[in-house]
Amino acid sequence: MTGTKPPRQPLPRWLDNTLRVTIYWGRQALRPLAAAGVGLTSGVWAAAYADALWSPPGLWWFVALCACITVVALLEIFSKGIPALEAEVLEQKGRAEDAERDAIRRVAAAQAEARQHTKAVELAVKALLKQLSKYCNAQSHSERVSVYFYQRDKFVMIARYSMSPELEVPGRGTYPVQQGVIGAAWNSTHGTLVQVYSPNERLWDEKHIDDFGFDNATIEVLTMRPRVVAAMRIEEDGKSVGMLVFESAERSRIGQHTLDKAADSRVFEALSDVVSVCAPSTPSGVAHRVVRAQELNDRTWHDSATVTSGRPS
Amino acid sequence: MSRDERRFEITTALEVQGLTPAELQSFADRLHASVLEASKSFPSVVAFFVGTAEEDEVEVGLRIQGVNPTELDRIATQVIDDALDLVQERGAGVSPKPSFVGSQLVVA
Repeated sequence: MTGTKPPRQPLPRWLDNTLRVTIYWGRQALRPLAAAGVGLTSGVWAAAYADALWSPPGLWWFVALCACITVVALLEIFSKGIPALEAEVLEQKGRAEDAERDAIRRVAAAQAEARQHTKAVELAVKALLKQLSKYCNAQSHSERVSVYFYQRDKFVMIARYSMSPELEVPGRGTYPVQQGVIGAAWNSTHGTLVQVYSPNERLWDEKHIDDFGFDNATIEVLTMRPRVVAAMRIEEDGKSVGMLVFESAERSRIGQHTLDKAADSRVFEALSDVVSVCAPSTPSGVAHRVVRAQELNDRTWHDSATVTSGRPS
Repeated sequence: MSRDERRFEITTALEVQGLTPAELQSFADRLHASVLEASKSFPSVVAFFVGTAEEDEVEVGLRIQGVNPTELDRIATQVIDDALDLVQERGAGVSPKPSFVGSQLVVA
């Protein structure tokens, strides 16, 4: 019968791999055992049964020696592909290591690039803050100004400027939206709030713990215990996107007038643009809750001009 | 509303230690009368409240309208100081020396 031989069907990949691995490890394990067997049987056969090499039990030792030699020979025959397999394994391992090193290099390069971009944004915003603090007469060693963008129920600091390097050190980086003056200002009707604190350290701490939800551990790591904090919501295109915060260690340096002056400045306009770009996940519309205003409206206010009785109603 | 016509609300917390709840309430009542009296010298103070807060604090709220923001702190401080002086002068009941805890200013 003539005709070409049908091409040999390759083994399934899993079977091929299993066989190759079995042969590889079989060779690795059996080779030394078989070699040791050759040495042992030949030694015993030649030394212990020198007088009866071709009769039992010397003959059985000769058979064992032959079996060991056969195993060694078969292993050599069937493991011709092993060096290639080993080379392939090593090559694959090398490729995997190269790929891993390459991936690590790429991630590190991307992180470095991201850091550079972030740093560039931070430096640009810091330059704006420097101009703003100068314009608002809030540029001394006892003041600092920070800007935050809103993201998923927290404020993330973009940049901070102070003449004092100690005050310029970034604090916690992120601040819960319901905590502190920043949160209260964010939630206020008109988006501004000026908080004056007692110079008494105990009262300062108590105020932060009782009213603003701080804990002792958080207070301990604060880089500044300001006397005054003036915070203003940053709004852009009908959205609340972040907060501008002035802090001072002196009571009279900053206040509502500082916020008014900042709000009127071109620098603040530019800052608002930048913050809105930095805050892509801000909610639509003016996303603030009027908590403080509601709280104040719940009070019983008395008209100074008409009230004649001293007793609160 | 123009910026000059804005209305501000400034709430000041004062710590008053060593008083029973009844004494604290009595002190707040007398302070209320005194704030009313003291605010008459400041036409820009259009409304106020005095209330107890927590176990050892009283709060004084002042609604101030039509002033330069740089004057707000001075007006609030003056009204409260004058009111506390009046409480001392009138002298009936316990008249402690409160400590300033803090103040909060918002645009109303």
